Amino acid sequence: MRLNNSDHIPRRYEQMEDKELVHLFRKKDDQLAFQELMNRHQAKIYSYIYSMIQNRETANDIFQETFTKVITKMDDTYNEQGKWIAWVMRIAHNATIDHIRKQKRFVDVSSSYDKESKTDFYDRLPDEDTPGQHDQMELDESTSRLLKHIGNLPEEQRTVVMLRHYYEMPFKEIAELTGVSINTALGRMRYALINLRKMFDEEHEKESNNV
Amino acid sequence: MSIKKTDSISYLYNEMDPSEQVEFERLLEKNENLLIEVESLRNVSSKLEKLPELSAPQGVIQSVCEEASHKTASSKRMVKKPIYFATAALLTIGFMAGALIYESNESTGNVGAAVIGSSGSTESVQNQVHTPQNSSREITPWVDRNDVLHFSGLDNERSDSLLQNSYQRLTRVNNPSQNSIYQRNLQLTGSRQ
Repeated sequence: MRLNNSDHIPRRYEQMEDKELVHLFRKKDDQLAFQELMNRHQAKIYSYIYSMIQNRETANDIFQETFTKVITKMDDTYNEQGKWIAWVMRIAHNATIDHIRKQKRFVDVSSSYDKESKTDFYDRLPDEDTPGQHDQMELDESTSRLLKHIGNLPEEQRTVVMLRHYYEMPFKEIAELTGVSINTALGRMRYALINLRKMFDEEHEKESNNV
Repeated sequence: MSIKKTDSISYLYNEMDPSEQVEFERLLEKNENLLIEVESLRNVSSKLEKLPELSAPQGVIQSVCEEASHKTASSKRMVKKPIYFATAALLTIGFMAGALIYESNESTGNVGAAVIGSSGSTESVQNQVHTPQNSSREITPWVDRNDVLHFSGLDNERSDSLLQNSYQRLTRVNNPSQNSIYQRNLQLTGSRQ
């Protein structure tokens, strides 16, 4: 998704690969190269953050925080051998997860393990921002409902779903990013889909009863 | 092939090897429950595909781009500072090196004096040169930067004999490692009194 005001960027930038643009920005301080990178990837990054947080203000803050880190760390931390977007995604993911964990309340969770979903109370505790707060965006009803259901998924299941959806990230990479085995990542995806199916079924049931 | 719970996800998201995929499809034909699970998961997964891409607000993107340009400007300033430091350091090193060279020249001059001194001191050389036969002409010995002894006011014949005489007085250094630099200098150019 390109930005509305991206017309001033010459066409040759559109034809460049990410790594060329990154090189131009790092070595020659080329602002247009950075803007082109933003044009290419901002929507995916923002969508990931928003779908995890589901609050526009917070998503804006995390998005900005992510890019502040990207700009300041690009010279030191980023290795041009790797994919730039994967590196940015890691920063965005860490910033998002940090925020979610800060929001969670400290409660005793030891006795509330749910065998069915393989989650404990801590995982199922909704994030402070999550429930019903994805109202600021101009979204159609079905998308809003879908986002609401995704918001009700445990954090680690939501993470796998969103990384896969927005980045088409292989499960191996998701596993590396989240620090789990590939089987755990696949398992989380499976439970996420099963949980979403339940939520859709319940919703469908409610609608049928209302009718 | 034993079925793992995660196989259905690997299959749905094309993360199986081609051979595993063929085997899994064979199992799907045989196992109705597995087929139902896969189709049900596929159904939910297809709903996820409707999730839209959301663009960040223009203001946020603008501020990120501004931040990037500020960073560039500040990094340029940071680049200039080391140039100043490097220039100052070079100047300091230059002055110090100059001072050291000057000092060493001074001390070399002293060593040169010591060299001549060891062979009977400059005065004695001069005395030697100021013999009654040579009194008609002024002969002045001097040592250059490279510690080479020169005589001015001598004609070639006489200077050759004088040098020959001097060389005969030089003694060999038997064990130079035992001596300090100054001692070695003295011995190398020393002469029998």
